[in-house]
Amino acid sequence: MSDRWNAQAQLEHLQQKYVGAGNADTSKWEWGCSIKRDSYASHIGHHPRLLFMSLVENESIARTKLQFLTKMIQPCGPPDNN
Amino acid sequence: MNTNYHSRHFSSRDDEYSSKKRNRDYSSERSGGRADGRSRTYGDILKEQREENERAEYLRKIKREKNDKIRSSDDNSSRKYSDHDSTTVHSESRRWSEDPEKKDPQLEGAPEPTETSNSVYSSITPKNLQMLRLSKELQERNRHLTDTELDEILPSDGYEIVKPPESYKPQTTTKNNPLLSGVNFYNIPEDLTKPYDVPGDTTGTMPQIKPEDLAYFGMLLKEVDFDSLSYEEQKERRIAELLLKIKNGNPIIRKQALRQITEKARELGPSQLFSQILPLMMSVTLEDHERHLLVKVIDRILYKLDDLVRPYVHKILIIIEPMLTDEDYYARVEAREIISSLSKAAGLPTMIATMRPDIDNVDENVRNTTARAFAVVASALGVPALLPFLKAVCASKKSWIARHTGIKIVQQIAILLGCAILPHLKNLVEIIQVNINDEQPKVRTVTALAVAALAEAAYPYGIEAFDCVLRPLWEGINCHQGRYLAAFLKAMGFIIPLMDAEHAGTCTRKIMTTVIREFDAPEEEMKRIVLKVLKQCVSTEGVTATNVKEMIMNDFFRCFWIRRIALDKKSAKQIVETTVEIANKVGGGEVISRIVDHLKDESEPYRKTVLETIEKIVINLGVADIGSKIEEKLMDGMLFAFQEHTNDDSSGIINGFGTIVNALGSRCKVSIPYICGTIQWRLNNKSPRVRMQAADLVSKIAPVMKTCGEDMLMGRMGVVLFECLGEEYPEVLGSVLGALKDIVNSIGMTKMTPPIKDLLPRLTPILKNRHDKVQENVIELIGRIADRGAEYVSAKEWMRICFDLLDLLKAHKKAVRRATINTFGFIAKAIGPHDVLGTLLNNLKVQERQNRVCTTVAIAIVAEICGPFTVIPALMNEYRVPEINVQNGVLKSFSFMFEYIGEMSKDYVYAITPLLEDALVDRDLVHRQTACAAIKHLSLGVAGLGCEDALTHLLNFVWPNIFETSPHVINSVIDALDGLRIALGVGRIFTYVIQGLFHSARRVRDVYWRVYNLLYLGNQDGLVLVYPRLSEDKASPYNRTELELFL
Repeated sequence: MSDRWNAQAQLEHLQQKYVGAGNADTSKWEWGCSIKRDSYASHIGHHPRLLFMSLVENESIARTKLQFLTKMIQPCGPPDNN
Repeated sequence: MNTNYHSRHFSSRDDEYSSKKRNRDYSSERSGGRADGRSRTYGDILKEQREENERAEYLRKIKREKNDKIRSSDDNSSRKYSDHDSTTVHSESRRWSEDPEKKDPQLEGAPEPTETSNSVYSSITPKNLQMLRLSKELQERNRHLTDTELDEILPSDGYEIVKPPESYKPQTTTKNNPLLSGVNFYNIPEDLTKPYDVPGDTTGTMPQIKPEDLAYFGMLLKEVDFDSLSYEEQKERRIAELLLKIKNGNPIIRKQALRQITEKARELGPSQLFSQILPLMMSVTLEDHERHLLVKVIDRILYKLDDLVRPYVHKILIIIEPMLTDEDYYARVEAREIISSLSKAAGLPTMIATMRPDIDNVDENVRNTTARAFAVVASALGVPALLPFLKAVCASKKSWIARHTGIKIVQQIAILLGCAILPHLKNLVEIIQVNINDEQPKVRTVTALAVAALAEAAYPYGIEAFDCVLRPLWEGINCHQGRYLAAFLKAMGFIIPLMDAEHAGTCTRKIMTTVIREFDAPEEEMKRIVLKVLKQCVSTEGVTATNVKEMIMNDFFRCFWIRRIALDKKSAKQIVETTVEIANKVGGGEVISRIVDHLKDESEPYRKTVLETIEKIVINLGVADIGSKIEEKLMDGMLFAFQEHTNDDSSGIINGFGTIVNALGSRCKVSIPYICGTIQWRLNNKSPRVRMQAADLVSKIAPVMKTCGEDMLMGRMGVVLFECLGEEYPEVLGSVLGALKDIVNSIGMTKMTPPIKDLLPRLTPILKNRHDKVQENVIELIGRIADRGAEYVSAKEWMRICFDLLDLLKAHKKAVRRATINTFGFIAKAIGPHDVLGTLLNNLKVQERQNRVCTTVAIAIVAEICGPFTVIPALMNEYRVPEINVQNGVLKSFSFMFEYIGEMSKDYVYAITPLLEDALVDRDLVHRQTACAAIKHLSLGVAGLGCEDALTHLLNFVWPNIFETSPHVINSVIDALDGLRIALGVGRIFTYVIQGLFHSARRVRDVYWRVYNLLYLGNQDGLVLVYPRLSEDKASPYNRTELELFL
């Protein structure tokens, strides 16, 4: 029975293990960063989308991919100190 | 191994060898890597160790001269863990037991133990103590009434006190007490039997102190002013309190204390903590579960203390290491866990520095456990980190003992890590390869064993790594004898399966002469290794059937298929495996013909082994190559074995019989009448066990009788079994019902004798039987009849059975409840759902929860089998009953129903929506909870089927419930949201979530983020397209311009 009672807590614990998961204290900057990173990862992962974007940008696919990867580092600029 | 294996105290399981762990000195300092002022340096330790070794060597020499004769007559009983090191163990154990300087270690460990408690408790075992406490209590309860007590009970006038007659002698209890016989040395004092209350405990949360723990928790008995104590004393007392709560408290108290001690671990400090925990761990009176709790404490505080534990690594290891060789599996696992977290906290250098001196310890026990501990360290920190150290140890020039331990570490790593050693295989083999030619025979042996362990772990890869050891192994096999040879053979036996076919063939031929020579070896160990090697060799591709026939078979059957081999379970298992492997190579008929005669042997275990072997061969290879002569012998032998079987556990024999007879199929037509005759006769035997075996056998051979076309005979068996239904032993009755079920299955409903219409009424009263086995079998039989032959019984009879079945819905065994529910389904299908449904809906009104739950499941099953449209109107009508239990039952039925009918639900979504709406706005929590569960299954069932409008509507009702706090409700709400996410897509739910993610109230944010995380984990990719545009800051670019690209 105690497992049942703990299930919620365990679920939360599990969720917190993932970088993108948030909590009540997540700031706009943190959330924005994870949104952007997830987006880039998703663009890279879906080849048709990547193809489309590189076509519009008139870049090679590999370079677009590299750009996305590079942008994942501090995607929303440095953290604000507030 | 040990007779008192199941003792609650792990200390009482120890034999002489493992009890030596208590003799280790853990009070002296050995700080790894940290040479602060008060601790001894690394050099000091090594020096001491050397001196100790020399002293031991010297003493051993003296002893050897003295005891030469005694030892030669000694058997090697304590060789269990010692890895052929018996001489060391023996001489030492004798020396230790006679050494007057050696003090009882538990006396040293206890902090200021009181005189009485120790002298008393060191001399009795925990088991005795338990018995003494029991007998004391018994005496206390049965004590004589005193005169004053009698005066109070009896009126003063009319009674006279009579003098006892001269001849009367009062019985002295202690002498005749059976519990106390054998413990004649000790009379337990009054105050030692009662647990102590902790004074000054106003809250009542302090558990009582057991007398044997007095030495550790004695300080709590002194009433002191907590504030007057110094800081250190306060801490000490605090720790003692917490430990006492953990050790003796009830679960709630224990959990709190455990949490406190974990949280405050750094504040309380490692020195104080360990100085109290460690002596407690070494206590002889510690029970298994208490040790488990203390291990848990250590594990938790290790995480907290992290690098602060470094100075205590050695102390902890001394206590934990012996648990690595404990008989109890969980003790071993716990020990591994602790050592692994210890090595992560303290780091590799500390671990090596701490354990290094132990690898050439004089005591074999210490070395053995150290090797195991090193293996755990390797698995925790990675094998590569440990390789340089292992290399150095295995090449140690100074002492062969160190080399021995080093190789043992490699062996243990292989055993512990399994196939995970593959990346490091080459390195590990290279490290130990030189030792295979070591000058010390013991080192050579252990090297061979380590190679064997590595090869076993690496199977079927990595033969290249072993190239370098093949030659030395061959040489070893050719020149060694006895147990050295056994080790080398074992190594070769494990390497051969890794080789390619051609090589393996050559090697097997080469090794076989030696193996065959050793067939006759008297030692059990050698026999087992030979069997193992034989099995490995025979199974390789390169060995041909003719090879095996010519070289091995004759000797093998002559030497191993003897009565004695079946007496030992381990050997019996090995012989079965090896023989099956040989049969795989040369064909089943050949092997079976050689052992079939043994089925008539007079030794029961031997017959069982033979039958087990034949069964396995038949499963693997069928019976195509068994000649008619052998077949006859086989049937004959099996019947003999069956009839002569006297042991209680007959499942092996009966299963074997069944498998073989089924494999033979129509070929045993001739024997069937004979078998049936035997069974029929035995069904009337006066011993219940015989009757049960006979009935069990009927279920096994029923399918074969059908194949043989013996319908007449089957019918007769049916009648005989039918007559046995009056059986009084439930076990037997269960088997009889099982046999009837299998006969009905095979013969079919139409041909069954007695006819179904006679059989079923006879079964109805048996439904009232409370025995699990009977219930399960009778319900399955009835279910089978309802499924296939319902028309033979009147609808009225089926209704009657329905009522009886309701009772079975609350059976203890899940299989029974499951079978009952299925039977409801079959009956409903047979007589139409309405009557059954009526019964079930009425049952929703009962008080008992489990009964109601099972009823809801049964309703759902009826819905699944007879179509939801037959049930849903009645259910919806029932929901109008203004009674909580009924309404919840209806909702639960819907929940189960949607789970079972899946996609079919799409036709009923709109019909059911108003009901679910109503449930979701009910005040009762359980209404909402169950409705959520129903919505979860509903949405999962109709996902992608175009019911989004209804589901969105329902989502609007579910959504406010996310703020519920009751665990069941919130779980079910979250589940419903998860289901709706699948059906509606993550975007739709996200539009709800985004409203509250940055709400000003934290409690709102908390909940919304939890739901967000749920979406995020469930469908992160889908969220990318629905994230909002965040407003731009000066510094931070939040826009995702890539999504605005357009061609």
